[in-house]
Amino acid sequence: MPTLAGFLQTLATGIFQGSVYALMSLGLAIIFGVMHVINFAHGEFLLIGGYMTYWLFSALHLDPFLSLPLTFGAVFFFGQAIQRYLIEPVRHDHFFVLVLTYALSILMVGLMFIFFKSNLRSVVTSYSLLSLDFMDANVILNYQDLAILVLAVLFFILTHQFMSRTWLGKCMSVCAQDEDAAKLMGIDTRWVAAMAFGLGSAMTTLTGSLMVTSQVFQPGLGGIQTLMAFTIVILGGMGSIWGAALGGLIVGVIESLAILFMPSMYKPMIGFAILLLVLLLRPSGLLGKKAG
Amino acid sequence: MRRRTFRGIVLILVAAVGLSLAAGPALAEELVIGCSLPFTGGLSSEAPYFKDGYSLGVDMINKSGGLMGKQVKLIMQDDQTDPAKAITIYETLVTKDKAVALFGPLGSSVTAAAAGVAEKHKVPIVSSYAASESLYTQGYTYHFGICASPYFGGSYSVPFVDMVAGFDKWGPKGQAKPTKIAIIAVSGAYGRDAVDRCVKRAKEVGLEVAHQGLYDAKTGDFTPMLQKIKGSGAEVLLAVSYYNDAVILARTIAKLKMKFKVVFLGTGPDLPEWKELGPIGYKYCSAYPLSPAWKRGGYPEFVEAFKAKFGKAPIYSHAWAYGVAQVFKAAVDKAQSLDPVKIREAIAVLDMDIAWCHVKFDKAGWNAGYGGTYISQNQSGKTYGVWPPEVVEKPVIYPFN
Repeated sequence: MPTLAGFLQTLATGIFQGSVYALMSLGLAIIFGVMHVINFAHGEFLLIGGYMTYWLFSALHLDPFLSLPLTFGAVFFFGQAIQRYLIEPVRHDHFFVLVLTYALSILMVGLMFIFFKSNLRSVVTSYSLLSLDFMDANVILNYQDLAILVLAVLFFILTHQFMSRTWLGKCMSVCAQDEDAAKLMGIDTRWVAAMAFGLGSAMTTLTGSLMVTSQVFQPGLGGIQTLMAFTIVILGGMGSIWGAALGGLIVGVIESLAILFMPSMYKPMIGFAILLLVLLLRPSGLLGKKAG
Repeated sequence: MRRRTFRGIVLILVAAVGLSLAAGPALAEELVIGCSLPFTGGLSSEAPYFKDGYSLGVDMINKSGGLMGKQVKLIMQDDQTDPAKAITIYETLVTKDKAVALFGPLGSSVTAAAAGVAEKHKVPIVSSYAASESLYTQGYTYHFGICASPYFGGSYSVPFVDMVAGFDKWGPKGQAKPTKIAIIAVSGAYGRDAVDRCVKRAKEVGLEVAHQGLYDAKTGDFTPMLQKIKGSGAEVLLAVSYYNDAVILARTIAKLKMKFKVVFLGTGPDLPEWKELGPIGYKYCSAYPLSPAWKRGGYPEFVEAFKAKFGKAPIYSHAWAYGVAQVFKAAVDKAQSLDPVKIREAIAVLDMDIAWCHVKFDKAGWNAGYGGTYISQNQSGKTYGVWPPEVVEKPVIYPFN
């Protein structure tokens, strides 16, 4: 049996991991929620964030947290361009969108291989190991992980505020509910879709930028990230932002705690087991709207 | 019409991406040697070394007259560290590309898949990164593993157990010998085998195995496993890891401020890119298969050729790959034939030095001539031999933390 300190340490790690999962899924939730588009290149956008941060840190010595606005801004415009010129012409043909985003993911992986090779990359800063011993209980809380958790909460709140209080956010919500009605109301749905894709891609890239400070990156890892993000978005309820947050947190915590009682090699199954269980009990996901 | 045209363009682009990944055909006068490497997937950190080593090996073959006077073309494909993909690749290499010889992929699971294809088509395959016992008990007669041998314990990691047991020979005076060891490995044929062998050896030398287990290669977080190890009271950690997991383990151990007397990571601390971890990566031990005393089998020529081609010094992984080419060249010269069956027969009776070890295969395909690994330690970013006593370059920095 684990000690109390061991349990608390693992719980803390689960919460931190859950916050990363949640952030990882936020971008996908925005894109799918507004545009009903499945982006197979989701994991590759995450890697782009990591690589951009790695390059800015190693070549220009720019702190990974300070470079967040740069990576966000760059991919926000890149994502808009992808949507406007590649996806928009075929957006209503779901099969073509799948093929297109799959081809895009292959292209992005190839380019990452060319520029960064297959070597593993990570960012280790002078403060990477700074931590506090929580209540002197031998529970180590890393400041960087705490910062990522705080940022995750902040991004979710900001996204929610954006979607519910800003004009563009409300347009996105209307498009998500009924695009035809949105057009009739005079909303330029193509522009809204471009902004949604740009925002979703940029949020995903931000996650990669944060993840590279604690994990290793290589070009081929996008696929598993895409799979995990889809799992969490479905678990939380398709298109639900807070569902993605809840789903990410649940998966992160249960994955970590479960390994205290079972062999570590079973970890990859846990997220999918949770998904199956939730869907059996609630097919629309944790916070998704029921059909009909 | 505009939408259909766009869709057509998209389909053409997708096809172009796929075709660009395919290798071109060999010229009629060229022989083909083929392999798959994990350019993506769990072992991708090793692929660049083998890519360079294999290509230099083929250069060596071609510069020394080729095989039976014919130049060789090397075909390499990405198996994504996936045995199923490796099967497809090797089937294509043999049936479509008519490969006369096969260089091995990386990892025991993937190599076992490739070895099955080689056995089926009776084309010899020589590997240099597959040491799991299960691969050598299948009865394959067309697979030969240079870097594998049960004659010294059967796993690169076993010498580390011997090192811990031999504490009296290297440990600081006045320090108690560590007695509890935790042994973990990446799941898969090699990892399971390594854990079994290391646990067996630990018990033989009187160490208490406080914890043993396997973890998934895609694990992004080792905290729960390390918490279990902490709870077991282990003073020594032996992790039969690949590079990915080694990096994450090192970061997690530092982050959680875990205390150990000495730590072993299977791969990583001796690789050039380990320096990106900075001080987090210091004092880790790892297995180093290339003895600093080895100068035979064309090793100096290999180093010179490598530096000339790539502009940097090689490491042992490059030599591992290059050695495979040396084996095939020697076998074809001995057999005086390009018949894969005769090449296989020649490999089976080779008794020679290559750039990093001696080669003499037994009936199971193990390399009975392999002398074993030695243990190195990363000390402030540089790697030094620390065990066995005859190859010590610097004493062990002890304790780990």
